Formats: sequence, C-alpha cells, structure tokens
Amino acid sequence: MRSDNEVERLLEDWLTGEARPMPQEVLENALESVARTRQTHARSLDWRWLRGPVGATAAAAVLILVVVAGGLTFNVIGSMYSGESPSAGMSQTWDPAADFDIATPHQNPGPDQYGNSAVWSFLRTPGAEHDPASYFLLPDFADPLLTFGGEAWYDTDYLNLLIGERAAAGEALYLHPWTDGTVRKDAILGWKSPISGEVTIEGTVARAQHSCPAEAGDIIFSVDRGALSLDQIVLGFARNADFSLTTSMAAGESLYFIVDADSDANCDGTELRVTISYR
Amino acid sequence: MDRELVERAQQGDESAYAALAVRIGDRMYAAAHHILRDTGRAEDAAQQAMIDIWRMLPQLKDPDRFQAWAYRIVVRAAYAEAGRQRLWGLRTAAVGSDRAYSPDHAASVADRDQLERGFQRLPIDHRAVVVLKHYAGLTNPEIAEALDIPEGTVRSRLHYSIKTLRAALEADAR
Repeated sequence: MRSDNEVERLLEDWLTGEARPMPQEVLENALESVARTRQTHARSLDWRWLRGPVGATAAAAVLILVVVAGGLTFNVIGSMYSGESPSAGMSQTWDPAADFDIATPHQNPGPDQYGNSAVWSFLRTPGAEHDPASYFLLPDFADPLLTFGGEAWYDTDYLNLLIGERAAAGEALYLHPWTDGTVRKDAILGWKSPISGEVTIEGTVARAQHSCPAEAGDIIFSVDRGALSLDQIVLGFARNADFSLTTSMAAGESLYFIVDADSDANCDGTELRVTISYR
Repeated sequence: MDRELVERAQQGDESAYAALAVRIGDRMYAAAHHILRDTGRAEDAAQQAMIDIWRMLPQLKDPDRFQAWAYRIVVRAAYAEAGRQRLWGLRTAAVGSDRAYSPDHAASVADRDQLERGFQRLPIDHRAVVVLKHYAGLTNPEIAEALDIPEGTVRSRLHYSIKTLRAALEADAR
C-alpha cells in the first residue's frame, strides 16, 4: 500500500507535469479586455492627514468652523428644527436591505429612506468586546466585491470581513466576521435611531453559505442596544431563526446587529432580514 | 512576485499588468485547467480571472499577498465556469488525449492515467483544495481563507482526495 507521502509526491509530479502554458490567444484576449476595463477602486476615508501637529491644528480649525456654522444655522432655523426627523411622530419602518442603495455614492454611515443621515453604519469590533465606543467603520466599498459577488462594505486587512448585499439574497444583508483564531473582528450593522419611542425589531437570521458542511460551527448573532445585549441567537445546526423584540429608544441611541467571529469565522456568512418599526 | 510590478498595476499601469499577466498567466491557467478538467472552460475561466484580477487589483492592500489572492480569483472563476456547465447541462470533457507531459516527469504512464481517473472522480471543491495545496503550494490556513471554508474542511477534503487517488493507483496495481 502506498503511503500518503508517496501519493502526494506522485500527485504533485502529475499536476506539475500536466500543467500547460496559457494559450497565447487567451492572454492576448484578456489583455485586450483589460485595456477596455476600468479598475474598481476601493473608496476609503483617509484620516492620516489628521496625524501630527499640522493635521491636529487643521482638524481643530475645521471643528471650530463646523460648531460656529452649526450654531449660526441653528439660530436661523432653530424655531423650525425639533432635533428629530421631520417625519418624527409618524409611523415609520426601517429596513437596512431596502436602504442599502439609497445614497449614491454609498456612505458609511449611510442615510435612511426618510432623509435622515448617518442612520445605518457598517462596522467591526476591534476584538471580542461589544463596546460601541470602540467600533470601527468598515473603510472600503466595492460594487461588486468580487470575492462576495455583490456590493459590500469591507476591510481588505481582514479577508471576508464584510457587510453587503447581492441580488441572490433578496431583501437581506449579508454579514461575515473575521478571525485568525486569536484576534477576532465581529461584523456589525448599526442603526442610529432618528426617533424617540418604542420600536419593534423583527427579523430572521440565516446561514448564508449553504455549501458549508454541518461541522462548520455555530453562528452567534446578537442584538444590542448600545452595549446592552437585548437578544442572542446561536445557530447550531439550524439553518435560520426568527427574532422579535421591542425596546425603547432615545433619538441618537443605537441598535447593533452583530455576527460574532467566535473562534472560527469560516462559514459564518449570515443573512439578516430585519425591520425596525415605530408606531 | 515583483512587488513593484504589482503596485504599478494597482495604480492602473497597463504595461505593468501585462508583464504581471505573462508571469502568472501559465499558473492561473493550469490551476483552472486542473480544477475544471476541460480545456475550453479553463481558457474561459483563466481569461475571466485575468480581467477580474486587473479590475480588482486596487482592492488588494498587501501586494506581497498577490499570488494567493490571484489564485483565489481564478478558483472563483473556475467555480463560476463549472456552474455554467451545470446550468447548460454540459458534461465535463476529459483531457487525456492532448496532455503534454514534461520529459522528466516522475510518475509512470500507468500512474498518470490512474491519477487522471481518480482526480476526475473528485468533486470540484475537492479538486480546488488539492490544486491549491499540491500545485499552488498554499498552506491550509491560506486555502481555508481563499475558499472561505474551515481549516478542518480543508484537511478532510485533502484526506478524502488522497484516499481516492490512492485507491485509483492501487486499482491499477491489482
């Protein structure tokens, strides 16, 4: 009986020996197409200019300008501005999948369909802690993100860490965390409430990678209000689970929908369908 | 891989990408060919992968990881091509007749034929793992990351594949 090593050696010899060069016309056709193909550039916010004394001075100047201009604006329109959405008080429903494409170009944080800015944010943790003060915005966006097959916010420093949407998923967002087994980056969808009052959160969380084997491990999903955990679902062998809860929100307070990286993030692709309703 | 070349291509330098494509093209094509076991489909997949690599290059943050990243894209292109095959009900064609072995090839003709048969019996996702491991030389964690599967699955697919190939080789010996 041949040993594993012997079979592997034969296999490697065979794969190497059988490898043929790329036909010249294939290469030429590809390069011809390349000449007509625009590269997809990741869009990211570059905050490096804020570093150093010059950057800090410039940042302080911008901040003062914003505060002064904001104050003046408030004086002018203060009597018309309640501090909440113009549609506050009316029945409203938020759906992240429906709002995902509202802004052109895409923004993180992004707006909702009612014209409120910075409602949806696409985030990651720096580690295992669920501490909103430490969350980072995912810096890059691509349409399509090739490795995902749809449009997505992601961070190229952490392969497969993304929050996105693709046609095949329908009305769902796709979240995928990252870990190297030691450090973990959970994927987080944030919703910053434009209203004050009680909201109902209803949804389904489902495994998105149907080809993954049963031993792929748990998917751990949580709904947090700020740092407070409201609900947690562990998808073991189950394909999906529903959730429904109500909570009181103050305007400006945030809900976080989190897919934990746990100890192994492979096969943790998760579809999230959720609505947040205010009556 | 030449880091400077990758960086120039990332900045949109088409001549740098052409030089890069010449360097990686053969290995990308061979990987697609090994996975798909079909010359025409491999050509389509490799061509698409070369275009996708160009398009997505600005998204690659670490140019030193270019090669593993490029393999990932070619595997995706091969999977997409295989999906089209399933969609149109085409059968995967064998590639036995037009193989070109290098003269210093170590395996015997009988071994090669048996490996070919055994390899064709492997599901495509097993072939991809075998190709990334034993042809591209990626590590198990790199393969897991590239294919977005657990490392345990990489190991089990490799184990199953080697078992299948050994059985094919020994069937010939009996």
